[in-house]
Amino acid sequence: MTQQEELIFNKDVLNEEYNLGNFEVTADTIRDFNRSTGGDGASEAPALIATLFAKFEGPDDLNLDFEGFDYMAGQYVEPEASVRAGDVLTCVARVKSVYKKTGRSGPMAFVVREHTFTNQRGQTVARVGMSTVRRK
Amino acid sequence: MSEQSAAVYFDQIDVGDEIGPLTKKPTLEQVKAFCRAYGLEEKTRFTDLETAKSEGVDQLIIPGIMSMAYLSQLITDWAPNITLKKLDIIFRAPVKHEEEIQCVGVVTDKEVREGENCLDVDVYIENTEGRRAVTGQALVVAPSE
Repeated sequence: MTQQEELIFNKDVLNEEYNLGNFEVTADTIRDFNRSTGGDGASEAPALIATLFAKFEGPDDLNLDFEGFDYMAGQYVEPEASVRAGDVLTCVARVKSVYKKTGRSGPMAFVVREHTFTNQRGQTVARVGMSTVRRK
Repeated sequence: MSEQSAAVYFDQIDVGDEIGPLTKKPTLEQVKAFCRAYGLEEKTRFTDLETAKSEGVDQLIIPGIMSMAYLSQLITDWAPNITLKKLDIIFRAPVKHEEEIQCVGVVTDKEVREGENCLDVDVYIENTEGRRAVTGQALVVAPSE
């Protein structure tokens, strides 16, 4: 049985967009990604490539008052366009929700973020949602 | 994309059809390759046991996104003519290094939505003891013949 509890963080950041930065997709990145899944390192970018740039961090003023280590709880990706080596992806993110639960392993803080990636031509290439859990 | 995969068509697919299994046994070298792609530093909880222990993890595990990449590969290797529209997963338990796992998909629904031939697919990663470490759903579009 879990229970929802109040969590201290900066509520002003909820649903506010923040820029996570620009990320160049290099041939090395694609090769390493493909090798990690047992492939031969081919140069074709997998559909999931944008997830590499959806980070746990941000925004700087989230001010989440909860110590611990972050782990992935869940993730979704909606690939919309192909990505090639040399593309530069810009990521805009926002925090959708922050909440605390107490389970069998103790208290946990969840942060749910959404990321939208566009390429240098202004085309949306992927939407990535990420739920992280911070455990003590 | 797998060279062996053949085209599949919406009309040929039935609810209950299985995709895979795609068998994996992640190695340290593969996890290191992923960490390089992800931009992680040399020693992480995924590649260095001491670092893992310092963060409360007693064995090397693979990054969650790497599990997701396996499930994406399961779908995209299924056939060259399908499109992965969405992959939505939950990480229920860690996947360990050198642990043999199977990635499996099961078609749970098929219908035309807004002109697209949509397939709902349950996906999961299971180890040899039957423990499901990762579960989720994929939305796939397949062409008509």
